[in-house]
Amino acid sequence: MTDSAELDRFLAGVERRAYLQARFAVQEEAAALDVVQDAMIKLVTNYRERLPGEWPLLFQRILQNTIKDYYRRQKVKNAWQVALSTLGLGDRHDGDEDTVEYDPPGEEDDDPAVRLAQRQRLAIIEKCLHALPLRQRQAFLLRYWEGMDTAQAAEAMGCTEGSVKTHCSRAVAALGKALASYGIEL
Amino acid sequence: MKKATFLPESFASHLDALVQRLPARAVDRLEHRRKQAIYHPEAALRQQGSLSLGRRWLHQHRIMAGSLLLALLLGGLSAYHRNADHQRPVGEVDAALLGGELPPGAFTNPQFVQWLQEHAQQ
Repeated sequence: MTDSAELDRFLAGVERRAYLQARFAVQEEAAALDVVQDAMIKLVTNYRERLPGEWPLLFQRILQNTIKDYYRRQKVKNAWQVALSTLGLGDRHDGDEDTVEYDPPGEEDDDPAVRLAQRQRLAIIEKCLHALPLRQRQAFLLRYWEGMDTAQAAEAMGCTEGSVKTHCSRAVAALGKALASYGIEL
Repeated sequence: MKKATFLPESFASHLDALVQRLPARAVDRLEHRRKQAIYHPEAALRQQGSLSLGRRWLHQHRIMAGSLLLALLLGGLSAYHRNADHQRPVGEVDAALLGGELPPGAFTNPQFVQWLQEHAQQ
């Protein structure tokens, strides 16, 4: 039987990146925490007996599916809200997305102007990522941030390698264009 | 004009910076959620926002769908009754026309209608 401490160590190592991925997708702190915990619970209850080497890919797959489920629920929820708001019932929460307040950087960035510029840059990066369609964002993050190869990303996303390549190239083009519009070059 | 360059790897390093700068509050909450997920998954499921939110949503959907169906049913019944009330006098007039001695064409004659109104007033 797998040691809970081992699972704990694994999840502790991936939780922050998972949180940010969820955060980019759902744009709400509480919902992002829920998504990450959902994924953790599914891994713990269904796959704890698997070899630890399989956990990273499994966890990514679960996380991506949980984010997709969240989107589906939101779609239904929004449909109801639109229907109710046209009848004059219910409440619509437009523009209730909140942005992450990142902790200030270390002592090397004491200059307030530098700190402000960095914060703005990070906020723009988050905004550009959120503006991408779900599948493009998933493909981009899995390939270039999680360091997966095309086959692994395809498995995590439940699609073909060709789709991953297409999504990635579109995401790179869109991000480059969006960042350029803010005058940022990476 | 210089073409803008975009390197995904460079972008990823910025994302790493975001990970390092996550607010302490979010990090604490993540740790708490992780411990719950590993050591008390059932309790976490009960407490958890999105799953219970999902269930709540299902519940809300059922209530909303039920209310909508009920409203449609009541609206349909009301429309049916209104229509039936409207049709009853027409039916009675038709019956009177068919049962009377006068030919139905008499009622379309303007002089007869005028005569009828004058005598009705008397």
